[in-house]
Amino acid sequence: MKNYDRITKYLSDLLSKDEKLQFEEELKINSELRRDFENIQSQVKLLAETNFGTDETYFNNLTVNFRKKMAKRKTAKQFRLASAFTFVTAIFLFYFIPQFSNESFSEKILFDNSEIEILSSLNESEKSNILENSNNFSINFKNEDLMNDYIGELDENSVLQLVNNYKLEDYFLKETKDISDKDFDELVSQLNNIKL
Amino acid sequence: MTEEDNILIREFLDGNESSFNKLIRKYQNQIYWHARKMTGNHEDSDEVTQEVMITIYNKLSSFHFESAFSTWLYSIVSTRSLNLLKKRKVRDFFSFDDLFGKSTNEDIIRDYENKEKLEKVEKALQKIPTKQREVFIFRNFDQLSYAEISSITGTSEGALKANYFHAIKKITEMIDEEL
Repeated sequence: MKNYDRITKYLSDLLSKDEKLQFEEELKINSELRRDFENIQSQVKLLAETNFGTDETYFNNLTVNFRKKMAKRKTAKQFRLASAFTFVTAIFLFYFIPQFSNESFSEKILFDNSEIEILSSLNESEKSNILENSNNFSINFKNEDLMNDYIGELDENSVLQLVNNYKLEDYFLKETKDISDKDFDELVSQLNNIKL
Repeated sequence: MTEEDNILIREFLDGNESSFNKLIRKYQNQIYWHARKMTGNHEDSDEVTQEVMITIYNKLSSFHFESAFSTWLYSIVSTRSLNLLKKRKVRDFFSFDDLFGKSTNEDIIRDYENKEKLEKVEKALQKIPTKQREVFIFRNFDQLSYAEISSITGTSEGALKANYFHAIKKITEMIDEEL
């Protein structure tokens, strides 16, 4: 088909304004061009056709089916949300509740180097303020030497307060169970050296 | 037409559910057939149609009446159809349908002769690349101008014209070969 390219370009609107006018003029007088044009146009139209005798019940039920699908999706969403909530609650119960029960909701002061640095940088009123509120804390020391140093730095009243607030005896029994006898003796002697 | 759509949309946004049904009934054939020509089968086009309806229902509040509702609707149909085709590519890659045969033969075409005719059309359309097929459907089936297609797809008019040109060429060549 010799006019094939021109016709497809015309149908695609790819011809310039002049070319388009020339093509349309030629279409009126050139029967071969007109036949080819009509042939291609009918092929294109055939593919665009939608009149295939459809089952109209499908279209009539479309809005009903769509609403059913929406309701189904809503239920699935609620189920997913409930599952996620259950999962999060389970994790919360698994990780946090045992911690709360062991520590009686108390905070931990970790006696590592940074904590000691912070404590040593505090002035006396700040230190005593911490000690006054210290019954809310339990001391979980990682390094006994650092704890000894800390206690050694305190004045008599502060140590007394510390002992009272922490019930140091019970506390030591619990916290020093893993240290050697020698270290424990040393710790006790250090505490004894402080005039209580 | 646009004003009628806008009234229905406003009514729906004010809580009138039946206005939404009216709006959908007006466009459901166009949505279905656009999807059908794009996907080439009833099952997928039904899925696209339902998804489009759900999207319209949920997002109609974000329609700002700046463009025609039909333009907004076609952009959703186009996106959903293209998404499904991408999904189908992945699904077909892992599927055993070719070995065991497709699971459903459900269709809305009852007449055997028409079914055969439509199958031929679908087969021809499925052979051309997705972008070319989309422009071809928008131009011939939906009767949209290049400017409208451009605002729906975000593709330049020049590129659309080129795609359409190649689509026509391939389709007519295929039909000639068959004859």
